[in-house]
Amino acid sequence: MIRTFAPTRRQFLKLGGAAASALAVSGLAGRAFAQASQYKEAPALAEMVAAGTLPPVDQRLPENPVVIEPFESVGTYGGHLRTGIIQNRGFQARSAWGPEPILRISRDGQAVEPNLAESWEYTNDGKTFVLHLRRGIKWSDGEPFNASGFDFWWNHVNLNASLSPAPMAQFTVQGEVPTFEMVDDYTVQWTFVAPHANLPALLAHGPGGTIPRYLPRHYLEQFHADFADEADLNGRVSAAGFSTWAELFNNRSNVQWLMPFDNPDMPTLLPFKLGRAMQLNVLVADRNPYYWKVDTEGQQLPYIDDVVLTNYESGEVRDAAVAAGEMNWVNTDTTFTNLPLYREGQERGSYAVKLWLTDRAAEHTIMFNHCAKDPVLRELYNDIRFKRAFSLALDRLQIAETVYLGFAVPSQLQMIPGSKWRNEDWVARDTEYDPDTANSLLDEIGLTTRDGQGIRQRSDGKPLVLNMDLPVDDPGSLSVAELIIEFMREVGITFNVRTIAREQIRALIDNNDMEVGIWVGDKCSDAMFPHSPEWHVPYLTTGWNVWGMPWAQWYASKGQQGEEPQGDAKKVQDLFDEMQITVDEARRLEIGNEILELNINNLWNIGDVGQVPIPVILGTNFKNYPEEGFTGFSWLGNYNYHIEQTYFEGGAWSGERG
Amino acid sequence: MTAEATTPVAPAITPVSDGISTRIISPRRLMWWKFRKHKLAVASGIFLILAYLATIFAGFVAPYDTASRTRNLYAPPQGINFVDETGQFHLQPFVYGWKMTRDLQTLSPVYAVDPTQKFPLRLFAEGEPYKLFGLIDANVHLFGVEDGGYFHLAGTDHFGRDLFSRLISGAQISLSVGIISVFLSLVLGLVIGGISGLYGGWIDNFIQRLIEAIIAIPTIPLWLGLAAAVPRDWPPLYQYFAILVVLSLISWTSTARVARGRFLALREQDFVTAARVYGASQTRIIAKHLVPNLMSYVIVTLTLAIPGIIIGETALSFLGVGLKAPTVSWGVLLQEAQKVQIIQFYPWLWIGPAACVVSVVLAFNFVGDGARDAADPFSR
Amino acid sequence: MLNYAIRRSGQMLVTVLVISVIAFVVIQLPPGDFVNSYLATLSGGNIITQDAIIALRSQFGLDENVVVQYWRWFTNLLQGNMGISFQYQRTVIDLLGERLPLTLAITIPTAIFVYVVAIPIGIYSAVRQYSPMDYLLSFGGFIFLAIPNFLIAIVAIYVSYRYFGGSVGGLFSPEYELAPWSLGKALNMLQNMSLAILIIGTGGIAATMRVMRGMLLDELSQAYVETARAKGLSEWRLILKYPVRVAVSPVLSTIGFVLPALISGTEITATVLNIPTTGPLLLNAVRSQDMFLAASIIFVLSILTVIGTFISDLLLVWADPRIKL
Repeated sequence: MIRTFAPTRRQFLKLGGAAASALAVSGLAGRAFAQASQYKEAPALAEMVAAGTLPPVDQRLPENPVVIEPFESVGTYGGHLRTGIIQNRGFQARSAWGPEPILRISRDGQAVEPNLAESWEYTNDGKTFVLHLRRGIKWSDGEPFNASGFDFWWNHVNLNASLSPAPMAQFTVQGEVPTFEMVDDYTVQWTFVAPHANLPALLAHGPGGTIPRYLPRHYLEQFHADFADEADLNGRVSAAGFSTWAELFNNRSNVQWLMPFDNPDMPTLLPFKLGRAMQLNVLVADRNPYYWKVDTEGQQLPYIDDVVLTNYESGEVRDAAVAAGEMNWVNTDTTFTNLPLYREGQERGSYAVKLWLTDRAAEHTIMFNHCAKDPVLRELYNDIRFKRAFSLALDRLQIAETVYLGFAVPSQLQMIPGSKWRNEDWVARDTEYDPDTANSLLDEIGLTTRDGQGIRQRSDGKPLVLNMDLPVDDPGSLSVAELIIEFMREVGITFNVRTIAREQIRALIDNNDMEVGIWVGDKCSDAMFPHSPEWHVPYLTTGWNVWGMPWAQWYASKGQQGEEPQGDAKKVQDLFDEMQITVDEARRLEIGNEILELNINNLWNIGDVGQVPIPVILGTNFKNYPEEGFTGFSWLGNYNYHIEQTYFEGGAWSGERG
Repeated sequence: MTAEATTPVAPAITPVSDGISTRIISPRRLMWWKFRKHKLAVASGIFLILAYLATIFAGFVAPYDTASRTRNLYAPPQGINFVDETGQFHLQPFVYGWKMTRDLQTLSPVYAVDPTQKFPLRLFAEGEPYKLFGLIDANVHLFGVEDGGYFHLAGTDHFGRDLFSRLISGAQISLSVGIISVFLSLVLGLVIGGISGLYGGWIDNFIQRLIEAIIAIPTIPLWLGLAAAVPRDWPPLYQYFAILVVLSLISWTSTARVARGRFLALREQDFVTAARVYGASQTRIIAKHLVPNLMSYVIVTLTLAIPGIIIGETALSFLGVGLKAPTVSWGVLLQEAQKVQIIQFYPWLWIGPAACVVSVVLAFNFVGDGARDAADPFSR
Repeated sequence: MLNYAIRRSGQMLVTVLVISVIAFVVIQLPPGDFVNSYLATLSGGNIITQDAIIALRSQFGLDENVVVQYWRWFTNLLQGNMGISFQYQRTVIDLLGERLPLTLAITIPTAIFVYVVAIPIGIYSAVRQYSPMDYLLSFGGFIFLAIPNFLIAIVAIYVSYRYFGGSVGGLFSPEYELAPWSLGKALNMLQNMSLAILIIGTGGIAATMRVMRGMLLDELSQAYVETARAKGLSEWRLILKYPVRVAVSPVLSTIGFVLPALISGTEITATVLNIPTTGPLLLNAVRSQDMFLAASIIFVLSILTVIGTFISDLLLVWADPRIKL
């Protein structure tokens, strides 16, 4: 019952020779068509052309549109993509039909490919990163897309203090902001102090792949103080109910902070453009008539007519809606434990439940706060013997059986199968259930005195109590936590589980008041690990880093705040720094391995079980998606599967009502 | 005239020993007699007393520990049988074991009765050890099955934990906290509402404004805010108690408003004027004349309020603000059962706590009804 | 009467002011602020730098003193500007404007539904005390009182989509969602709303019915009723004319809370039924500490309550001439 998925690996990045890499990757070569009239378009658009409200398709598409090879078969136009989100939250909330980043993740999830940019290269000893943009792409209102969009974004948004408090961190190397140059209409470059090795991956993903680094200046200049007439601008600001132009700008452009993308007037390059903002919990995105991709037969993409996104006020209701057959594309916030419900409704609801894998090396990571305020606990948590004992005391097979119906494999928090950094030994280390060794390790540390109930005493005489706080809306981690209570009792430790609101956890983490934390062990993929190893390097202060927040604060503030890590913790930070400026593939492999080895030797994060699949709901006649795939934050959902080339057989979902 | 005309002899008067009494019956006694006439109220009262006893002797009444897991995940309730599959009658009731398979399509466990496994039921059986009243070690349970068998009267949950035992455990919290909170709010409401209605004038105005202010604030944000202010270190029960006290400090307002309404009406009544003319003090008027008139409303409110608190606890658990797992209360159990998957596949997990809440609420209401009729001096 | 009205209006203003302060404070009580809670929603761990967080706070005005924030909000409020919702990036007025009509469209019919059903049933129950119908109605009432609204809601949803092919939540079934307004769409909305009205109303009916019954029973045992009967008035006529009027007064005195209670008390049920009223909006706003949105909604609710109480008092006086204010 253990299912694995091991895609083949492609090369990650080449220094220079970007053109060669573009050819090596299939599906995105810019093939020219002999006659422009070979392009076809959706019937609705054709009507508009006939009515004179829209230019003909040849004029809307670029000269050399990107050709997407359909996954299975060429599609037919028509249908509504119906999806749902919960409480308007999460990055994936509005990414059902996007993103269209500058570079993109390849279909197999391993490599970076051209997208809006057709090639890139490193020059100047690797310090300068040059992007060559594709020509002929138009915004959804027909205006041309070119480098001036980047110029606008960089100089007037990214570097504008009212809009961005600090320049985007992903574009900095060693804390230094690069210089930007718009070489010509289709070439831009940044010059850093050292090679920015992670930049292509970051451009393909982000985080914030949904944040464009290019903006439609022809639309947004009217909201910007540098361009708009002051009186006009103030008028607009107060008419909209805001108090500063920055608020208005952010609202109209949704460029920062990943806030809901709710301005239908804002031009876009995505396959669907917002038709109707979220009104009474329903949002609609219509086909973008200027979308710049076609299929192998010259049909302009996307096939599907529109996306209807419903916001549900609670997860329960959305699950019921899934089972009722109201959606045909759901890949977020589904849980394995709800499988019976989803499966039971398949026929009635005209959908199929696929089991895909995620970027979770372990379903949960259990983190001890290595900078805990209590000195006794602090010493314990930094002692590898204690953590090994904890890990050995977990009966992972029980967890797998009881919570995941056997669809799980004991696993430390390393990398997912198929990753080039995966090391089976490290994954399995200390994952066997061995309470005897656990007990002897604890004895070795000196926790030998026990009280009347068999609970070990700390060195200061108090009973050994571990307090774990977990979010109240996560039944998965609660189940595991409840099992851990029992496991810990076996080795003489009292394990206290407190469920509190997520916001409170956030506050506790920020104040370094957490003792033991638990979170999802995600981001363990090749797409994310090199630039965002949240669980393996203490660098991130805005994540769920319970295990070393002061270390991360020290790193992020360059020593102003937090606490300087010692030994191995400092070493991984240095390795991370090196990874960011190392372009050489072989060396990157080594660095990654070193980081992961230090992690398994220190057990800063303890994983429980991995390879738990996630249910993905797809309509029964929904085509051109893989049968088995990956979905998760590492791929911003699963945008690498090209939603724009999906279609419904017969032109509509078989489960449409009315 | 004959000599036989005897003097009229009075018929023999046999002293009547029952039926006519010359005692004075106190009003309280009268009320008790009237209450006793309501069979339903009495039955409900007995039920409630048993329920509260069960919470005191929780370890004894429950066959399993709240947290002990078994292999039978999501098992439905086992029925008690007297007649076995061959048609033979057994004096000692028994239950059948389960044969568990998994539905390949939905991956949900499917349980079929296994006639080869029979577990006889016994009273006062030995089972898992527990601490009576939290102090005395014991291992005798009210009922149970022999070693190796299992008996889940109300089914099991996702960890195979016995639901019936968890319901008993949950009762400890749900039943006790409701009463305290309600009394508090009732006393506050009567006192403040009474003062408001009786004195009128600017006191009335001031109190009414205060009540308006408190009512206007939605309870949920208040709870969310207060829940966050309670120290994290307190054991969950203390935390909840603290919050519940706060809740009662809000809920007294509706009692106060209606009490005030009644007082406003009553103080104009003749008998109050008469009492005043006779020189009765304000306190005496309130205590002896006005409050009894409020009795029926008080009792109706009381019986409607306790269930309200129990339901309030459920609502708060639902929002993640009240009690939370791993603590066990009916609200927590209901909140865990608030999933379509549970209702569809494992409905006993929803029916169990819901039935408990409903039956307790019904019982309180019937008792309240009986008490109201008993307290009413004019009822037939 | 006029004097009274003027006096009360003055007091109402004071009440509302006090409420605004309390509401604002309560929202601030939980530790952290909107930025915290926003970060909390990024379960995917989107990377936002510390600088960005500082900027966000400053942009939203969260780095200032609470008193200053309150003052700014309140002064804006008086000018008709309720501020912006951080979470939705829209003005509060916009959001409320979108949801308030719907909220009223559900709560007003529900309130009417509750009173229209509960009062007659309560009267009947009292008059025919101990009859089988009384027992049946009382029993039914108790059951509905015992089961919380949102619990029924989830079961109702399940039954509705499983056995009747109904849509799970929201106002419109999928086929009407995007269609322009038409008779069919309006009927569809009414259909989906009726489930909500039924579920939200049941608890209220049960409670009101019981209270009505209790009050009327008290009145019916009074001497004047016996007198009226002796004098030859027909049974129903006399009941409706005298005891009911008296018994109804405490019931009516609760009208003041009904509307705001329905608006804010149905938060959970509306969440479960996925009806986009102000209830779920408030809930989310408080949870995420979306300050202006939450404070403004509470403010609006408090005004409603205050007005409602005023109306309540007037009704009390009208119904019972013995009461002197």
